[in-house]
Formats: sequence, C-alpha cells, structure tokens
Amino acid sequence: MRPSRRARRLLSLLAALMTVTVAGCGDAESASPPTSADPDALRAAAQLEIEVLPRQGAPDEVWGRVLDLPLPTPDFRLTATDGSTFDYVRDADAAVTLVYFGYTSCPDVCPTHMAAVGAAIDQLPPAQRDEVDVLFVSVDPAVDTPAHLGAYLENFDTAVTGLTGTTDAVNDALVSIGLPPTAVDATATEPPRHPSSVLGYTADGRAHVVWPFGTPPTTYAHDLRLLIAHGWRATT
Amino acid sequence: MNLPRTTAATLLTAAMLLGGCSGAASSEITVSDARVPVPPGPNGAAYMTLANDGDADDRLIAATTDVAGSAELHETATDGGTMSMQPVEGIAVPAGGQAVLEPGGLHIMLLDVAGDLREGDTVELTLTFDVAGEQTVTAEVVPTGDMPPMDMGSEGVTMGSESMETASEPMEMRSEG
Repeated sequence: MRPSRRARRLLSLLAALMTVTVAGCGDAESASPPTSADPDALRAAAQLEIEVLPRQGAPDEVWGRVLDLPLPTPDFRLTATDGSTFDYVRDADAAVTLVYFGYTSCPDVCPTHMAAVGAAIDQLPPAQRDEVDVLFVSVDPAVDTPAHLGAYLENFDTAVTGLTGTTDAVNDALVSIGLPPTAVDATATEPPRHPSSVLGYTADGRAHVVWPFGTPPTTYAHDLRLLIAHGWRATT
Repeated sequence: MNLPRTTAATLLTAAMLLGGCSGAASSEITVSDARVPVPPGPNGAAYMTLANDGDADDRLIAATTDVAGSAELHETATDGGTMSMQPVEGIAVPAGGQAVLEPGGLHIMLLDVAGDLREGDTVELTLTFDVAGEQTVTAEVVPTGDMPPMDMGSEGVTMGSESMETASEPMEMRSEG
C-alpha cells in the first residue's frame, strides 16, 4: 500500500535529518568527534586523575610518580615549529621523551613548569642532555601557530620541540594518550585546560613515570639521570 | 550653654574615645616577596604574600601596572589531573591572616607584558583593596620559573606551607617494593 501523504512527508523529513546528521559527523572541522581512545590508554591515563607529588626516595630510585600501569605509546602526527610533520611513533626516538601540554599565553603554570624541566636538563652532563627530548604540545593551536610557538620556546634555555596543528589533531594526540581532549579553537573564550603532569616516555615506548606541576628541577634531574642510564627499569 | 570645665573635659574625652572606636576597624596590609618572573610569552604573573595586621577583613580587588596592558586576579586549580585557570573577583586577606599568591595558585595575571623585562629590574604594581584602598608595591623581576621549594619528605608525601596544592584529591602513597 502506498504510504499516505503525511507518512511520506515524515519519511522525507527523517531522511533529511539523517543526511544532515551524517554530514555533520563527517565534517572535518570542530564538529567531528575525536578518535576514540584505546581502552588501555584510557585505563592508564585515568591514574593521572589523582595527583601524586614526587618524594625524595633513595638515590637509586626514581622520585617522580611511578605509574602502576604505564601509559602506552602515543600515536599521533602534529606539525613542528619548522613546519615539518612530527610523527610520534617514527620521530620520538630519544632515551627519554618528555611530553608537556600547554600554551604560549599561559601566565603561570607553563612558564614555571617548562623552566623547571629546562633547569633540570641543564644539570645533566652534556652527553646526557642529548638523550632527552622535550615535546611541548599546544592546546591553543589556533593562536600557537608553528612560528608563534617556535618564538615562545626560544625563551627557554633548553631545546624544546614545539608541536601544534589543527585543534582536532591536538585533541587526537591527547585522546591517543587517553587524556581528555581539552585543546580549544579560535572561538574559545576561556584559557584552555591541560594535564598538570609532564609524561616521561622511555625507549620501550611507554611512560612509566610522570611528574606533576611543582616538581623541582633537582627531582627532574635526578630521575632523568636514572632513566637515561637504565631506561624504564629505573622505575622498578 | 555654659558647662563646667571638668564636664566639658569629660565630654570631650568621651567624644574622642567614641570617635576613635568608630574608626578602629581597619586593615593594615603588608606585602612581602613580591616578584614577577620574566615572562616567555605575552602574559606573565605577579606573586607575593599579603599580610593583614589590622582588625578588619580585607580583599584585593584590582591591580594595575605600567609594564603590562592590564592586570587581572586569577586562580589556577587542578582537578582530576587537569589544570585550569579562572578569574577571581577578589583575593581575601582576613584580619590577622594572609593570602599567598604563588605559582599554581592565586596570582595577578599580567596581560600583554612589556617585552624588555630583565632579571634584576623592578616593577611597580598598584594594588586596590576593599578596605585599605590603593597601595603601591615594588616587585622584583626574577628568572622564569622561579618558585619556592616544594616540601618533599623522605618517607612519603608531605604538604608544607610552600608546597603545591593538589586540591581535595586523596594522596596515594607509593608502596615500597
């Protein structure tokens, strides 16, 4: 039986709605939801919801917060300050890769935390300094263009790899680590939120140790020496 | 009216005492350790300790400085491992108490800071308090990232007066193994 006129109108309305919805989901801009997080990443990153301060332990122990469940290897591609593509899996090859999320107009936390990391690296013997890579990923990528981010990072004594891109790309990076997608776009009216900890990835690809905001340079330096010398086994 | 001298003297003394009582509730703000780290970007922060030796509660409600386009009162907070920053309407400095503005917490955010601040410079800030009114403070320009030492115990986690706050999250002790 042919549907009534009313039924046909309802059906076409429904079809139209579905088309709009599907188109919305496929939109490349901020309307599209970020990649779903790997359950392992989510489970591991959930540990970061409770902040644990570092403590001064034995000389052969790492003083930063050792995770019961290490964070799995991130998988993302972002734009470095020289315009090249940084593919984490391909390009993060140092003995220790420190990952920090922040933004250049941050007045309080980012300068303080980055300076602590920089001071720590300065305390390492020159040969060891080359074994640490610091990645600064912007959660305000619309403002933090590669050039802008590069200029900001020049102000820190230590070499830092600045990473930026589209808001979606940065949120994909956060989600790949299991963290909340807090990167903002140009319409944001509030400063972006970001993880409080620096994540420390070792050559095995995982992050076994993290350091919250407030960790002093001496703790970072102590831990970095151990991690460079012994890899993730320094955390056991 | 022709009052006897002693009565007049008594009345005058009483008036002075009463007048003194009505003006006695005041705040007395002392600022110490005022510092501005060299900002690496367009925005920076001023940190300091505000002590109120008076008997009236007070509140810092505004700040201005010539070295920045504008200054606002902000608070950084950590919740569930995520840091955020909010403007605050005022920073309470209770009578007989103090307010500490430090990295990771309350601070005066300086927007659009002059690009030529160097360690060793000084910066003048004009602070406005609800009760005490305006007060000028000289802050020292210190290296980026300059902050008070975190109190790190040897046994576990300790929270000294200068250590970083982690809001109301429970602290986990790492098990010895």
